[in-house]
This record gives sequence, C-alpha cells and structure tokens, in this order.
Amino acid sequence: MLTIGLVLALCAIGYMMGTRRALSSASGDQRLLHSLKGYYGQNVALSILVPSATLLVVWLIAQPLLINQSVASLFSDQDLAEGASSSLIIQDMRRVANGLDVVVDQGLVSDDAIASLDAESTNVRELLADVGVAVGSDVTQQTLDGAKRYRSLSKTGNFWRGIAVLALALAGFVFAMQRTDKNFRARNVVERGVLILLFGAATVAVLTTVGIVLSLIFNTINFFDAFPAADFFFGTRWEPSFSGRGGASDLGFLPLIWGTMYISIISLIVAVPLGLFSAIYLSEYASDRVRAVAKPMLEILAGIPTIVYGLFALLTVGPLLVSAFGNGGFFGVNWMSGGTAAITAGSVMGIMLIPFVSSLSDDIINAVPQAMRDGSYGLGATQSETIRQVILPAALPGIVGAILLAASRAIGETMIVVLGAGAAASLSLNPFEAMTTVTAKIVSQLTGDGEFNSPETMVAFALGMTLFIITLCLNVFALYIVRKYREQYD
Amino acid sequence: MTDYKISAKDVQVYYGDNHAIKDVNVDIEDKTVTAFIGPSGCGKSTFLRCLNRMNDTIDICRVEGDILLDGEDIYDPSVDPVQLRAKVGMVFQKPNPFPKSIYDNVAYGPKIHGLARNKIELDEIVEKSLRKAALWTEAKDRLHAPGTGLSGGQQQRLCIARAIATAPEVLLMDEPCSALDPIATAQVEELIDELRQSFSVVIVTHSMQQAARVSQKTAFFHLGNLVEFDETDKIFTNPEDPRTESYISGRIG
Repeated sequence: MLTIGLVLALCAIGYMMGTRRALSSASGDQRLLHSLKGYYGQNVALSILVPSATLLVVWLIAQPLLINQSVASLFSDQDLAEGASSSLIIQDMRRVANGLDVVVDQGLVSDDAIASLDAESTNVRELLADVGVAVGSDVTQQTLDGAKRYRSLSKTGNFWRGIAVLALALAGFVFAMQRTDKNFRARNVVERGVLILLFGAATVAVLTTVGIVLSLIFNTINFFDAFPAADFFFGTRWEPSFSGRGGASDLGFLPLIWGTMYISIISLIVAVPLGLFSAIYLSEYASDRVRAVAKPMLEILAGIPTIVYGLFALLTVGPLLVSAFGNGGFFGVNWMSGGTAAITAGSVMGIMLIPFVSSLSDDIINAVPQAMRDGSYGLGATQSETIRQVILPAALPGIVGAILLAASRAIGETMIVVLGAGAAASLSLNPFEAMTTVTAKIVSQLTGDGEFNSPETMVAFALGMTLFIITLCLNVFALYIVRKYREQYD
Repeated sequence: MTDYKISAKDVQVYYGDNHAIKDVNVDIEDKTVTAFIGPSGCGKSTFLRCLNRMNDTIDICRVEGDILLDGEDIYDPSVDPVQLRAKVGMVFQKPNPFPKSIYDNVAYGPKIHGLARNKIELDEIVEKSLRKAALWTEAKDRLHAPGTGLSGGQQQRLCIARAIATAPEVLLMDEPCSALDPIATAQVEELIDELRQSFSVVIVTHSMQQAARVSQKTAFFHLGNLVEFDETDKIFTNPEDPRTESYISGRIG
C-alpha cells in the first residue's frame, strides 16, 4: 500500500516538475514548446507509473508461485502419495502462515519467538484458534516449518518488491525529466503511452479468457486420467455414487447433453416465433409511441435475474402445466406427474430468451435499408408481402445469427433448469418428464461434500469444458453469419 | 379534363407544420415524358411521391387537394393505395434491387399481382421487361445470379425492368440517373424515350440537359410552388417567369 502511495505521489510531483521544466526550457514562452505544457507533465507521470505498475503486477503474480514451489520442495513424494494433493497441503500452510501473522500482530508471540516455535512443545492449532483462525487439523511439524518458510520468504519478497518498484519509479522520473526539453516531442510520446495503456486493458481481458480455458483443460485432463474418456462421452447412464471412490459411478455424458439439447430446443420453439413476431411488429407496424413503451418493457425481461425465472417455473408454470396435462387436469390426460419437467424449464427459458431474440432481430430488421421497403411498396406490395418477401429474406442471415446466439444462451442456462427441470438424468423423449442438463449437473457435482480429487467432482470440469466448446462453436458460427450479413449493405 | 392521364388540382402538402407544396396544378398527358426540375428541397420529389401515395408511409405527411388518375381521385377513401401503386410504378434515385436473383427481382411484382397464370407466362413477362429495359442481352445468362451483383447502371435498369413488369400506366422516376455514370445515364435516357411509346413517364431530375433531352413537358418548381409548366422547348428557350429563366441560366439553385 505504502509503495503504491509513494509511486502515485511521485507521479504528481513528476507531473508538476515536468511541466515547469518544459516551460523554463522555453524561457516561459508556451509557443516555443513542441507540445502543450501539460503533455510534458503527463510524459513524466506516465514514465513513472507504467513501468513501476507493470513490475508490481508481475511481481504480485510471480511471488506466490515461486514461494509455493520452494515450500513444496520441503515435502517428500511420500507425503504427497499418502495425503491429499500438494495444493491442499500448501493451502493449509498458507492458512497457518496467515494465522501466525495475526498472532504477531496481536502481540501474543513476538516475531523472533515464531522462529523457535515447534509443533511438539506448542499446540499451534490452539494458539491460532485464540486469535480466531480455524485450522482443520492439528498442525504437524512439517506444516509449521513450511508455514515459517512461507512467512519469511514472503516477507523478504514484499520488502524487495517495494524497493524494486520505487527504484524503477525513480529511474523513470529521472529519465523522463532529462528528456524534457522544449524540442522534445512529448505529445507523440504520450500518444504512444495511451496506446500502450489501452492495449494493456485489452490484453487483460484476453488473457483472462485464456486462463479460464487453461484451468478447465488441466482439470479435464486430470479427470480423464481417473475416468475413461469413452465411458464419459458415450455412456448412456448418469449415476454418480458418492459412497465409494471411482469404479462404482456411471458418468455418461449423453443423458445430460440430451437434456440440454431437448430443453434448449423447447425454449427456442417458444422464443423464436414470439421474439421474431414481436420484433417485426415493433420495427414495421408499431407507431413511435407504442414502440417507445413496448421496447423497454421487453428489454426489462432481459434484466430479470434467471433465479427469478427459476422461481417462476417452480411455483407458477410447473403447477399450471400439471393442472393442464396432469392427472384429472384440464385436458383430461395424465401425461405429467410433477411440476418439474423438461417442458416447464423449456417454456420459462423461452420466455427469458424472447427479448434476446426480439431486440437483436429488431436491430437487424431496422438495418434493412428503407430503399428496399420503398421499392417493394412502389411495386404495389402490401406491408406483409413486403415483410415476408423482401425484408425477412434480406434480414435472414442476421436473424439466424440472433437465434444461434439465443441457443448458446439456452445451452448455458443453469438456474431455470435447476429449479424447473428436476434432477433425473434420463434419455427420454417425453417433454413432460423430469430431465436435467449439463449445467445443472455441474452445480450438483460441485456443491457437495465431495473432495476435489474424485472423478465424481472432477467430471464437472469435463462437463464444463465440453459445454464451453459447444457454445464457443455456436457463438463463432453465429458471429460469422452476422458479420457476413453486415458486409452486404456497407 | 379527362384527356389527361393525371391531373392535380390545388395540391398542398404539409410535413407537420412545414408547408412543403403550395397550390400545385399540373396536368400530365398520356404517353409523354414530363420532367420536374428545380433546386434541391423545392418539393419536386415530394410532389412526385404524392402521385402514387408513397407519402402515406410517412406519418407526419398530409396531402390536400385533388389528384385525379383517369378522372378518379386517388386520395378518395375507396381507393386502395396498394392497387394504385401497381398502376403507378416508381423507380428510385438509388438503385435498390432486392437481395434476390435477377429473375426474382423482375418476377416480384407480377407474382404479387397474379399477372402470370403459370411459369411460362411469368418467364415471358420477365424476358419482355428485361428486353424493354435493355438489360436482356447482359442478364439472360445469369438470370439466377443475385441482382445486387450487377453494376450500378445495370441495377438501375433492373429496377426499371422490375417496375415495368407490373404493367403500370404511369412510371414515376425520382432522379433515376443521379447515381449513374454518363454512359449508363445515356442508356437509361434512351430507355425512357422508348417507354414513352407504352405509357406516360414523370421524371424528377437535377440535370437540365437531361430534362431537355428526354421530356416533352417540363415543370419548374421553386420553394414549394409550381412556377411554370409548359412545353419543354418553350421552358428552355423562352420561359415566361423570370425565376425560371434565372434557374435555367444557372443563377439560382
């Protein structure tokens, strides 16, 4: 914190000094400067901020990795084989180390005394509990050693980090000040600096995506080490068992992807006609006043959290459908036994997707040039003939793109399915039966007591990865179609 | 009076509060080319769009006065604007072929109005219209290629073919050559001259040479008023109104 404060203060000083130095080099005459005087200040501030901030970020990322590696080397392979994975042990140690920090802060034990602590003579678990840090089990000597090493390493690391960042900031300050002169092209340099800042922002977003994909990939590989891939992709039964380890579970992917596709298709059957028709009405028929009210109203639908849709499915739509299709219901058929069914989740998800389809289609229909409409009206076509034969064909690629985007949202949707569709993974054709989807199963596999190293939990990563690839393909395809369409009129 | 194809009496057009067309009286004869000239914003396009009620699609636009087509008021409530537009075709400033094949572009109108009983008749209409629009030789081998793939001049001739395929009685052209190069312009002008054999043509143009070349009658609009309407020769050689004279000699507009 102190480091950041100092760097920012240096920036502010640098800005003022840079401005002043530039002015004095031109003997106070602004017109003799190459750039406006503010640019010289900004140049100095940026020269201080950008390198030191970059160093800080890199250091913050690298330090824990290096420390983990060094601490992990304390453990023999034997320990790892017996106990849980090394990441769990390191997590334990880190918690102990943080606990020791708190102990020192509260003055219970002096900093020097920590070094001589050993697990035999002191009950570290109790000591930590006194300051409100709970540790899962008794602390072994090994963990304590690790924790001490972790503490000392991060302490020195933090110290040198501050020094290095400040040194770099000062170096930037001196370098920029020396360059400041009335002929120096500060404006161009600042322009470059702005470019680098913006580029950095874009890179963060891209790198995060890469990070997400990588973390999924590694966990997926771990899962396939423990569970045969063929059984996962082609298994028709989904029956995870949490009692034993491995072996007993059937983790077939097919019933889940079947449920996902089935529910998504139901939702699209609901959403596409309704969304498309409302888009046509709004863009072609509605008066400005109706449009001004109706369009925001539709878009409010898009702002409702999906969990609320889930409640709607569970409490309203499900019972309503049962009273229509269930035993003694309105239609006198006994097709539906419980409120949670594929059709419940599908229809509610369809309602959720209506604004998605309609507002995208509305934009696309509006993008069809007025000249097309004029041309058609000028030939004596009616409004609906014009829409059917000229506007929709012209907008079709874009509308298909909108539908594909909606489909990829339907596939990724979770909460509505958890609440509305039930939990039974079945390969059924009957829409009135409970079904479940990939996303709902990811939730149920990870929100249990299961450890993160059994196939029953790690399957969640394989499911997530597969889902990610499916929606990615759909999105890429949809964007390709939408873009191809855009080029047509530009 | 009924010898005229279209006769407009005391036409007023308002866009909201803006009085865009004031007291316009024009009589358009059958089988002639009538040109509307005048500076930008003088209302000539607006007036043209009144003749087939294209202004209906604009909410704030209001038309008063009588416009008679074959002696019948086209703003009468009993007149169906859709039927009217089949009789009074229109070609726009910018070529606007539909994103369909060349064939389907031309067949669009006949299909909507049921002008062809079968595929053979439809083929005939398409061929005839394309021939009339002087596009047949260029397009006959690629009838099923998209109309948007043609060049600008070809696209405009396609739009003309599309308009004549519905067998209109009047063809309205709103600056049909403003987006075309001189060669394509010459082709379209030649075409207009031929179309005069079959029906009357009303053309809005910014080019006075074009008006002089293709039209028999010329109307000069200025600030929403019809200033002068007479034989083209007379307008260009011996105009009565001083405003017409100064526009033609390039002093206003």
